[in-house]
Amino acid sequence: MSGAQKNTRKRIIAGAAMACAAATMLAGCGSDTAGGDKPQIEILVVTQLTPSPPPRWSGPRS
Amino acid sequence: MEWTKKLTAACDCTIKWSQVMTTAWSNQKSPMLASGSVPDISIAAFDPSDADKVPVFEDLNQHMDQLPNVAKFFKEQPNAKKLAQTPSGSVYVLPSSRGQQFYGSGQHMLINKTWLDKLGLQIPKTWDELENVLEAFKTQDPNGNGKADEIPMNIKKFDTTGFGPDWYNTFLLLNSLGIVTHFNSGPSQQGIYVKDGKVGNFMATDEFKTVVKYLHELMSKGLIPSDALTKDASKYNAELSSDGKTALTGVAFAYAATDFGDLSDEYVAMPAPAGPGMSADDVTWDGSVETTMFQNNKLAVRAGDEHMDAVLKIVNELYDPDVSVQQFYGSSPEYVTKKDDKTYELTQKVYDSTERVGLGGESAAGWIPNDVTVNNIDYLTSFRAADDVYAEQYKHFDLTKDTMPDYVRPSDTDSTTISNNDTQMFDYAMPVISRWIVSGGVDNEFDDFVSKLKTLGMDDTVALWQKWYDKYTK
Repeated sequence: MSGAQKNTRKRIIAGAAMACAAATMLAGCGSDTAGGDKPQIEILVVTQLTPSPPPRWSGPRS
Repeated sequence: MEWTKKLTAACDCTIKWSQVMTTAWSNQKSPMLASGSVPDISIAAFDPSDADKVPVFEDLNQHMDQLPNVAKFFKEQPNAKKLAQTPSGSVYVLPSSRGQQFYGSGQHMLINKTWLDKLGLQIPKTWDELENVLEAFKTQDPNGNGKADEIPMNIKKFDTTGFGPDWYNTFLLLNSLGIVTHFNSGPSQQGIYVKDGKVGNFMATDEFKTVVKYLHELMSKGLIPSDALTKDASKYNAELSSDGKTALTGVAFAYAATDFGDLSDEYVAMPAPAGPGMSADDVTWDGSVETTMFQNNKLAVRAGDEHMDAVLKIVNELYDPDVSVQQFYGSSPEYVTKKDDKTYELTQKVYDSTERVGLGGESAAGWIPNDVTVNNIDYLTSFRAADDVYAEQYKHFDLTKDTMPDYVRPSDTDSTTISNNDTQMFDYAMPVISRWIVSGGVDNEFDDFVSKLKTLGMDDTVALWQKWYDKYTK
């Protein structure tokens, strides 16, 4: 992936994305330190913030 | 170990997490796809139809030897694999499964058992028996307040676009006549049904006419409120829960007894009563049974990712059952206690937390095998109490031969044609159907109604669904 593409994606998700450390549902995800030459993998998670568990989990498929 | 740490341990990499709220994502998805720049791994972000449109995702089917957990998932749940698979066998977006505990329709027929007991009545097994029970609800003051304020049977106002999106449609009664609805999702909401592999539109069937006539009969006798098809959903819901002390509703279609609020103890689910001339062995219930188990839009990997080995290790770990349980419900041991290899239990902290502690069914990309049980899921208790009532009626049909499976996916072009036809049909049909229920007339007008639907594209739509049904199921 080119640097320009990465920058495009960063702009797209900027403002709405939050660091994992702030999200209880991804507990522990911020505790790993970047290590040397290990590859870094980017994972995007689209979530809802409604209290868990929801009163009803079903609904028309998105 | 918390599940996110298990991922980094599995891949020997570092993970940069980004989290986007569903509400914001709807504005960001299209630009991201258009840019061709997607993350290494996307969770709950894209669905198979996105992958059909833009070639930016990896075909994961070619990596199954590196994804043994996914391979096991697909072996156990072949219909889940079909949800993700293209007709040529590629898998660009992995589905998820919440396990057997979630097998079942989200739509049920509830009846006030307290009223039945008070009046010495049994749960009705036929339409005639149901009508007699409703008559007793109307005339014998079962809520005991001295007022004739009981609503024997309450039904919801129709959606303008068909029989589905807003759920709990009264045409669930088609199951009383052996037409299997699939109202949680899919084209059943627009009248499409399948019987022994043959696709049709139930609006053109005698069974549909029979349901309309029955509903009109109930309404004309005051057993369904005359304003049922015009009142707002908020009023309907308020009538279900009443004031929390004195029930108003006898029978209604709903999710579970919990829809009746503080009166939930008074209600139980009832199997579909048999329609005229029907054997109980042929009565069915809503076939959306896998819609709540499986989600088809859970995980996609960027095509040709430069760190594919590490990415695949993460993906495989996400589909590990232990990691999956934590994804869905919260990290262990804080929110989930592992009792043994097959049994987990949510801790009280799940319910004490003011935040969402797991990704839930909407976002988790994982697989909870059928033999794994998660205890202390409060909302499952009411669901299972309602849905288990239909276990026998679920046996009366075949999911593939008698419903349109969720994995049948028309092409974009055909979907557009279908959507346009549906819009035309339902602009015409829903007011007519409502009028029939309120004022009658279906016998005299039904043939003309069907002819009109044909001119609006009904047969073309059925043919398209038959084509795609055959393509995906044969």
